[in-house]
Amino acid sequence: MSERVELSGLELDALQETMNIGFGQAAAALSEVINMHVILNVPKIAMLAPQDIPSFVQGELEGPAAFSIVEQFFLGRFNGTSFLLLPQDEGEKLVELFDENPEPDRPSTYLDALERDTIVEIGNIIIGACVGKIAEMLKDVVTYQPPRYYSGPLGSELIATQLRSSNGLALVFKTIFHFETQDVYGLLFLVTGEGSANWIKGAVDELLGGMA
Amino acid sequence: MNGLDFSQVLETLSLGIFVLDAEGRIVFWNRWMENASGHSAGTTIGQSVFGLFPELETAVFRRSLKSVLSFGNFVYFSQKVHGHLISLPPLPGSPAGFDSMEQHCVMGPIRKDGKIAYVYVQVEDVTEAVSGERLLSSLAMRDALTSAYNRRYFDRRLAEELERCKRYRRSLGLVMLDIDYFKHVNDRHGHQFGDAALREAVSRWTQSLRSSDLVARYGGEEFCVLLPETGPEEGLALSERLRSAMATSEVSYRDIHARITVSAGAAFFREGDGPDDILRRSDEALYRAKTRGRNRVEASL
Amino acid sequence: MARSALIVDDSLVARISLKGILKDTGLDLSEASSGEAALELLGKGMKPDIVFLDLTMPGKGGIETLREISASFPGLPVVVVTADIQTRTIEMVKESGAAAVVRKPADRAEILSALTRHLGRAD
Repeated sequence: MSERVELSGLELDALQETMNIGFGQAAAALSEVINMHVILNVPKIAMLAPQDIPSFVQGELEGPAAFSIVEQFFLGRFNGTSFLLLPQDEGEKLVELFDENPEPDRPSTYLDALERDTIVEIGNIIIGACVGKIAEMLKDVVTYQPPRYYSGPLGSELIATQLRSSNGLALVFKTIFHFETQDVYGLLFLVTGEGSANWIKGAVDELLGGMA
Repeated sequence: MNGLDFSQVLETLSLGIFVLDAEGRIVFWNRWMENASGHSAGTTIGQSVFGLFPELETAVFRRSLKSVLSFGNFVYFSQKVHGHLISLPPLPGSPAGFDSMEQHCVMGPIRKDGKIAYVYVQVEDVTEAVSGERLLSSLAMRDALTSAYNRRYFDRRLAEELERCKRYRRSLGLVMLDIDYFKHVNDRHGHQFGDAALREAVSRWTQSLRSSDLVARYGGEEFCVLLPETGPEEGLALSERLRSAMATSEVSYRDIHARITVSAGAAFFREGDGPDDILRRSDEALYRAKTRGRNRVEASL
Repeated sequence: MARSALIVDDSLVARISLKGILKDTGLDLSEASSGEAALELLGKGMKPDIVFLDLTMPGKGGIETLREISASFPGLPVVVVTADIQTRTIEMVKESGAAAVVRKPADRAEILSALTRHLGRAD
């Protein structure tokens, strides 16, 4: 495993600000797409090793052990994997928020498919919003692989396993987002690929250069 | 690839491609789309895609369009979830049994001068694959003799339904049915009659039940019926209907006619039930039905 | 007397960026890295002619800081600089006393136009 990329205090601050702006714009654009007010908490950059993620998740989302996860790889010079984690109950709330034809007593097979479908769709949009805006700020264009969906317990272990096989991660951004009438809590991880971390450093320096 | 005419590629592709501008108007419509839809490019270009395909006027599609234009992500409309995105008749030569084409579609961004200006939609006909899947699936799920579901499928469905009961607070009924004196029937009338009796039982029960109910062959002459969204009152009425479907008229095969009866044990979902729990209770009820004279429904309440 | 501006943002880079835009305007520039620090400076007698305020700050957030400034220092124009420009957010910010909302990343033209329109106290 190659050396971890080091960011100076100023570079980290610049990256943090880039994320703030990116997420802020994402919230605005997201709210337009889904037609409701969205609040995205300021993401704090954390540098985590894959093995630390389960305890990190546990600390952030106490209680539920079962999650719905949307995973999406993105490719550009800014590249990596993104995970949207929703505790199981939160997924049901999301369905309520976006359900076009709510009827009582629909068969539970349909509800299951609807829930999965809704979570993937919203996850796809949120990931696209955050990743897309950040890429835009850093003057890059990304493409995406199809989103994948997992559900059940062991969510955070799954993520750690997925990441162990990559070149070791450089940066993890987490945020919690609130929708209009309901607070639907979830976590968004953007895990950059090792090679991408170097590029980010360069892009951030360029951004700084354009400022002072 | 200098000088390659890419428009030829788009026109000869065996995939539907159309491109929309930010307002949903069609700006490109390839030959596959012409053939599949019956609308020429000449008549579609400039039209709103929603006018042409009103079924696209859904929150999901609108959201997807907006998000691709805003963020440049890709949106996938898989056949498993959506069936089809746009309503097209099955292409000539498609397998029978489909009213419309099954599709897998993808939507993605097209940039102009660095900004996302258009959205392309790719339409893939997966009808044949779906047909094959359904056939295989059916073979794997069914009992060859009676066409009832098989035990493997039943066990899986039972586990799934119990999960849903727990999550969504639903009710569930399980009825175990056993043909009375089946060994005796086989000895007296022959195995072929015995087989016919099993098939007849499944047929009568399937007709007496709702489409959401499931009839499965659990053992040689043992059947399990799963009744989703069913509580004790309704469940008992249905169990009685199953019993009487056999008792009230004979089974005929060739020139053999005989009255076949069944014993039934019913159990209903209780909080915390795993598959073994509910199976055990209906088995116990079945046993009571047998010992109390057969041709009878007993319940675990 | 030279006019002055107070820049409030927890991000060093955001402050650098805004200072860069304002450096040729002749304004005296001060900065604070949190809502608390900003209120402390104002409480101790600093009298800027305009305040540029970020919304998303930890601790005492932008909205709360904005409300306190409006309450304690009426007439002091506050321009909120934020990436989140949803209608509801803008309404909330205006109701809390902001003179204007400018989107991040700070656009030079928008900042200068906000300056022209809102600089100065209500006399």
